[in-house]
Amino acid sequence: MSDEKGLNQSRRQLLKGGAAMAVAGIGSVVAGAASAACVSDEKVMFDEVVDVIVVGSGFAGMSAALQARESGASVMVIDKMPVFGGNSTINGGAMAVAGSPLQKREGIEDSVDTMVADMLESGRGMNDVEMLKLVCNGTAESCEWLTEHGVKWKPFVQHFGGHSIPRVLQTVESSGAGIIRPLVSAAKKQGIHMRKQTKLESFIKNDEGRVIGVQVREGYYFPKERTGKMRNLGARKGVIMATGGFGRDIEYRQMQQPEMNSELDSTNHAGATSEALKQMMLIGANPIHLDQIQLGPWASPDEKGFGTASQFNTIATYPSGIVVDSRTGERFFNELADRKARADAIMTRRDDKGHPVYPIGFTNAEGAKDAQTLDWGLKYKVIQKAETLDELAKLYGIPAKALIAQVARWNKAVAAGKDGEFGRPMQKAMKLEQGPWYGVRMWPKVHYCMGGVRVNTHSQVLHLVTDKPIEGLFAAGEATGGIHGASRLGACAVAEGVVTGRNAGRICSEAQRIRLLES
Amino acid sequence: MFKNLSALSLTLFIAFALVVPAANAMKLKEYHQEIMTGDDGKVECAACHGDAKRKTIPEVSACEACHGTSDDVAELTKRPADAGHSVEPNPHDSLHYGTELACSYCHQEHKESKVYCNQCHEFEYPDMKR
Repeated sequence: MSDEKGLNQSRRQLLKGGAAMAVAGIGSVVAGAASAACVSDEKVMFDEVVDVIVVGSGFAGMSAALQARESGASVMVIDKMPVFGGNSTINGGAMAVAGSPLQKREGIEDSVDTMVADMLESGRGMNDVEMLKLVCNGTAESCEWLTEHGVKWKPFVQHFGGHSIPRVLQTVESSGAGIIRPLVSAAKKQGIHMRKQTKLESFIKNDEGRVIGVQVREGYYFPKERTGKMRNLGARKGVIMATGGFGRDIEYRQMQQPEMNSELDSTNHAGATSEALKQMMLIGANPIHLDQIQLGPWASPDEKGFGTASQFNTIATYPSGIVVDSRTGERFFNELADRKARADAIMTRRDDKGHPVYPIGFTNAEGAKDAQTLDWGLKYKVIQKAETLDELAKLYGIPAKALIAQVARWNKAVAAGKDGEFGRPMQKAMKLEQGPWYGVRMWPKVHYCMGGVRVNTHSQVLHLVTDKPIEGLFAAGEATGGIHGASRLGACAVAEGVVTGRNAGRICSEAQRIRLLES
Repeated sequence: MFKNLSALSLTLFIAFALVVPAANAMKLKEYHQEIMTGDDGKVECAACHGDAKRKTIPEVSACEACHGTSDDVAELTKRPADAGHSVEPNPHDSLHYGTELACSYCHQEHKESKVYCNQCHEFEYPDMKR
C-alpha cells in the first residue's frame, strides 16, 4: 500500500516536471522523449482543466477553437510560438470556394463535384475522397462563417493554377492575417484561453487509453528546448491537433525526400517542425503520405521565405503573364498547371553542372494592376522594372529577339483562345502588348506537407493498427494526411483548415465530458 | 607554437565561460547602462529577471514597466497615414501579428538584437538600437 502510494507520488512528480524529469532529461533525451509520449494515470492532477484543448493557432486551430466555443465548450488554444497564426498568418490569404456569391455575380458556374474533380486530378488520384468531399462541401458555408467573423474579401474571383475555373477568394490584406487576426480577436472576446509560448511535450491518457490532456512547457522560448515550466493541462472532451506541417524541419523532411535538403528554402515559419506529429505517432496515429511535400512554384531565390514574389507571381505573372527560360526566351510549361507540375518544370532548368538556371516570369503594368506587393518587391529589387522588352531581355540576359518572338506567339494564342503549345486554360489570359514590364527570377521553395495523420470524417485520429479512433484525439488542417494526395491545389489549405477545423471543433464539443482533477 | 596557442585559447575559453554568468560581466546596451546599474556599481539583474535564482528570459511586463504597454510602443513607431512603400512597416504593429510578439524576440540585451520580421522580410530599421 505504502509502496503504491510512493509510486504514485513519484509519478506525479514526474508529471509535474520535478527533479525526476530533469534527471531524465540530462540522462537520455531520446528515451526521455519516447517514454514521455504517453502518461497513463487516472489520478493525474491537472494544473488547469477545460473541455477542449486546441494545439496550434492557424486556420484549423482557430476555426476549431471558435466552433467548439460556439457549441458551448470551454476552450484553450496553445501555441509554442511567441505569436499566433503559424504559417496561416503569413500565407497569401486565398481560399478556394465552390459556389461563392462572387462566382455567381461573375456568372461562373461551379459545384462541389467540380472542385472535388479538380483536386483529385491534381492529387494524382491519391486523395482521401471522403475527406476531400467533406472539405469541398463545406467551403461555401465556411466562407460565410469567416465573413461573419469579420474577414473581408477582395471583390473579385481569381483563377489559380490547377483549378479548372476561377473560384479563389482572397482577403483584402492579401494575407492569411486577414483571417487569423479576426478569429483571434473573436476568440479572446468569447473567453477562449489563448496561450502562446506553450509547447506540447506529450499526451496524457487515462487507463482506458483515452487522451485526457497534454503535458506542456509553459513560457517556452522557441527554439530553446529546455525553456519553460512543465505543466499538465486537462481536456474533458478532447484534444484537437491543428499543428500544421513540418516544412521547416529539414532533417525530418529530408528523411522523406532526400533532395529536399538545406539548399531549398521554405516559405514556412520557423516553427513548422515535426514534434507534434511524432507525439501523435507515438500514441498510435497512422502517418499517411509523409513523403508528399509540396514546393511552391511562385517563389523567388532573390528573397527569403514567401516574400513579395510569391504574391506577385500568383496574382500577376501566372494568370496574366508568361514564364520563360532565360537562355532561350521561350516558354516551357503551362503557367496555370498545378503546383507540382509547375515546380517540377522549373526545376528542370539547370546548367550542365546541375546548378539552377532561374527562369524569368514577367507581365506588364496591366497584368500587375492587382499586385499589392509590386512596390515592395521593386523596393527590395526582387521584382525589376523595364520599359521595353529589349530592356527586360538585357536585364536578365535573355536573347531579345527570341523573347520578342515568344511574346508575339503568346499574343496570337490569346487571340485564338487556345494555347497550342502547353494547353494553358485561357479564360483570364491577356495579350502582352505594352510596357512597362515587371520581371522576377523564379525557383520553388518547400511550402506544404500533404502528409499527416489519418483521420475519419469526424476528424478523429485513427489508430495505426485498429483503424479505430484514438479516443479523445482529433486533428485538422495540414496536420492531417491524405486529403490533397500528391499535390495540393492553391487556396485549398485555407479551405481545408477552416472546414476541417470547424468539423473537429463541433464534434469534439459534442463528446461526453469526463471528470478530471484540478489542483 | 600552435599547441601553445590552442592551449591559450582553451584557457581563455574556460575563463570566459566562468566569467559570463557573473552579473557584472553581462553586457548591457549603452542606453540601459545607467538605469540598470545599482548604487553599488553592480548590474541589477533583478530589474529584468526578477529574484528567481535561475535566470529566465524576461517577460514583456519587465519591459513595460518603463516603456509602457505594447500598444504605447506601437504608437511611438506609427507610420504616417499617407506613408507609401518607402516607409518601412511599423515593427510594433505587424500586419501578421499585431502587437502580440514579446519584446525579447527582437530586442536582446546581452547580445545583438535582430528583427523577427526579417526571417521572411528585408525590412531596414537603421534606428533600431542594437
